[in-house]
Amino acid sequence: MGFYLVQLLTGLASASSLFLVAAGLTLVFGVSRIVNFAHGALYMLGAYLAWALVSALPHGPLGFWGGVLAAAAAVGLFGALVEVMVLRRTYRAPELFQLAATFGLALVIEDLVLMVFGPRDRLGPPAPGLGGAVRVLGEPVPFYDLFLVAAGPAVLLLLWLLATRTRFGILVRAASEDRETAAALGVDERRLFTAVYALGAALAGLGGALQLPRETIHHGMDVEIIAEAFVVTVVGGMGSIPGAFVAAVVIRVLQALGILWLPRIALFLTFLVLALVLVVRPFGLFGEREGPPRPDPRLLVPYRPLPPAGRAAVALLVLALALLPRLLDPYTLVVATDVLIFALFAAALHFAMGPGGLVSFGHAAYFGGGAYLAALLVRDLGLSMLPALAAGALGAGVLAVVFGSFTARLAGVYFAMLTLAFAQLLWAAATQFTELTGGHDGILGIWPPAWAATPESFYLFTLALAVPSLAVLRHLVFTPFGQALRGARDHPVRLLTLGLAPQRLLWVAFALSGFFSGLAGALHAFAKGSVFPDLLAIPASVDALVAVLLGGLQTLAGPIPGAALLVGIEAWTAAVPWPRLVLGGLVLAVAVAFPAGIVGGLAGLVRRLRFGREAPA
Amino acid sequence: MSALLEVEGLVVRYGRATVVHGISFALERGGVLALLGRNGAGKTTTLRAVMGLVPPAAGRIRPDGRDIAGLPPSRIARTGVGWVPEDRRIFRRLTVLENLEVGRQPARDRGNPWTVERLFALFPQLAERRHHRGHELSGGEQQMLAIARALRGNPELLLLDEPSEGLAPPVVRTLFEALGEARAQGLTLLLSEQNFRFARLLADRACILESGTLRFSGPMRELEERPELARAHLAV
Ligand SMILES: Nc1ncnc2c1ncn2[C@@H]1O[C@H](COP(=O)(O)OP(=O)(O)OP(=O)(O)O)[C@@H](O)[C@H]1O
Ligand SMILES: [Mg+2]
Repeated sequence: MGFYLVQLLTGLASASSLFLVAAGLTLVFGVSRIVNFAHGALYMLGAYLAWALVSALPHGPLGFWGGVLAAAAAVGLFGALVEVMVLRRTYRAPELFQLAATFGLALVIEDLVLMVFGPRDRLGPPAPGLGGAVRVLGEPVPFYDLFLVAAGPAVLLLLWLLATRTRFGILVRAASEDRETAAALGVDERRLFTAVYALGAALAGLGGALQLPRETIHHGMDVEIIAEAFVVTVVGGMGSIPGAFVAAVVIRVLQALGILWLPRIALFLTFLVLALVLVVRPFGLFGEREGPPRPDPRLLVPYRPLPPAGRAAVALLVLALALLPRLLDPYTLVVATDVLIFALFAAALHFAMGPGGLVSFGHAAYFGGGAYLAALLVRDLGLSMLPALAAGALGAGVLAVVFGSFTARLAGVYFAMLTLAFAQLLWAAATQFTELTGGHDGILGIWPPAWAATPESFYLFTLALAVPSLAVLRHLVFTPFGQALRGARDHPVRLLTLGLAPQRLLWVAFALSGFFSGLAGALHAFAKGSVFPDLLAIPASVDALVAVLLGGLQTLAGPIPGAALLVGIEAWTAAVPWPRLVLGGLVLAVAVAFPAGIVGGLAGLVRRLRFGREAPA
Repeated sequence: MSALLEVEGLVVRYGRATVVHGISFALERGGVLALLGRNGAGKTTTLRAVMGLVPPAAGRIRPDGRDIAGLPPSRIARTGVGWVPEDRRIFRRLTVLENLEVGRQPARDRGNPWTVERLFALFPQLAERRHHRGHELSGGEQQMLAIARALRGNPELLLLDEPSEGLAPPVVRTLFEALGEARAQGLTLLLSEQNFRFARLLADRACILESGTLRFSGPMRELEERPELARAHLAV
């Protein structure tokens, strides 16, 4: 009995930091509608800063608590700075760009932390006066855990007082509900956004700082917490702070108890809770139904079929690509193969996001899903490459049908979050079911047959699959199905009155997108000869998103140069001393300077040069 | 008399569709101008342009002689423009008092600022519901709150988008009386209406909009003398 109680207390204690991070995330989202990928990095920054300050300040309660609070305040200040210098410049870009910007920011902060604090893990001192343990029903419980159990509700209370008793809080709540009306009543959005981002960052920083006596401070902290913090905000209802508290407690307690029953279940539980809650309450426990998301007018640019000259150019390009093995050395050919595979993945994601308007944060599920399925079939059933590729693509398509049946009712950010959760579920499965998947060691020895074994032949084989696939994806947009799909994206109600089922159209589009992502994933497995859980992880999903954004969401051909650019950048930054700083900085620069994507931006420029003043809408 | 608001050659587009085609009108300090017109005539769009909520494609908007076209809505609000939106847009999760707090702005140096007490005296029904949340209010109460919330910012010019829409006659009477009182304090009103009877009682000048162009602009008296205009362009 005592054992369970202790486990419960541990769960509650760990819920507190998670709640702090999620509260900041949900606050920022509520007001500025930014899904802040950088929140985990701010949490880690808080932990490192607290470690540095507490180590530097004199020992004792004043030094410790002063250091912890100063770290939180410093992260808040840093947040204000970042908001003013970077994020503010992306508010006019489509929402996805803000997402890309915060992701770039996360990368930059990760490398900055590494630069300033060094690569070593850091161990904090025990909290003065709260060291040691107390016995609860005969079992020892760290005193600091009890403090944390109380700290969560205390912060909740403070935030509630702030929200209801101060003008700032009232304005924040008003703006979360209706930004436009608040602005028309004289509420200065810019100042409010800065203040809210600073507060959100300070909460994340405090969450990190409070971990100091509890766990080792290390460089994976941000990734560890961010997915869970997303889940908590969504389960609680985006924008709801009490919701974030309840969700953090439920999830962490379930994990603490679940681990006793079945150790491997803990990782799943989080995402299972998310999926269950969203199926029953699509807007989270405390969230309010939102209106349908406003289609961004910049995405409503009509797609244009290629003129004859364009077709000829594409044919020439394909011919040139087919001749590439004569020009390039084997290593560069391998990179070229990567580009082709990744371009197919990005184009598949773009098909869902652009024409379908379905912003998926978890497309790694289908890419990695296709890769794992192909690898398993090769290893366990001895399938050869071609049937394994087909099975990988089909399997990913089926996966998209299944996941799509859960997500179909959701829109906007809830859809994005549930897709992310499903991908995380698969990632957890890949890491946990080691007998089947090899866990972090992956599955090795997935090589193509002899006729496709050299870099040249595999490149040509990939080209022969990728070109028709890309052509099909593009062609679909101009078919009646593609037109109906855009109708489902822009005017679902009108479509209903025409007797078409918008949800079903979107579902089909999602399945197609899953199919081609799976094909790309399976190809990737054979290109590398192996699969690892990374293929299912958040960075894989984000890479595809970034490629789409680089290319420009409203540019049909965009994903291809976008993918080439990203693979190129990643190949190049792998050699520089601070790769994430460079990559993150580039992503930030694009988000700030080229809101139409690089390809979209260049295309717009060319159009303006050619047609004089007729600027694109 | 000096013009408090001058709109000159205002053009508004939504994407490729032009909704307001270069309209001009002026509003004197202390006056009441009614923008009349059928559904979709462009009344809301005109008011939203004045408030800065849609960027005008061309034209000038000058309250008090300053050009505000292109300023963000919060800055325009702070120059003394109050906003009572079409569907009231009460903050549903905020109480009546909190809704009023959102509307509060530092008092401009005017004799008699709108305090919460004065607003409750204007709308006694709101006083009884001060701790209720927006979504608990009736349509009439929401409209009263929308007006009170805008007045809380002590505007010089109040933009009202179809304030009488969908309300029962006694409520319309209350609103009418309250707006009359606010006017007596020197407030200038720009009103969009389909309800000609309500507009006639309140306004001294009128503009008739049809498909984004002005069909009439002049004193309300003149419009009353030309019933054929009202018949042609308004749902009377
Ligand atoms: N956000 C928008 N995007 C595109 N078109 C719009 C938008 N808002 C309004 N319109 C169009 O602009 C025209 C004018 O609309 P507006 O709302 O200004 O008219 P209104 O006179 O206020 O009508 P009502 O009496 O119905 O309120 C209409 O044809 C409408 O369909
Ligand atoms: Mg209107």
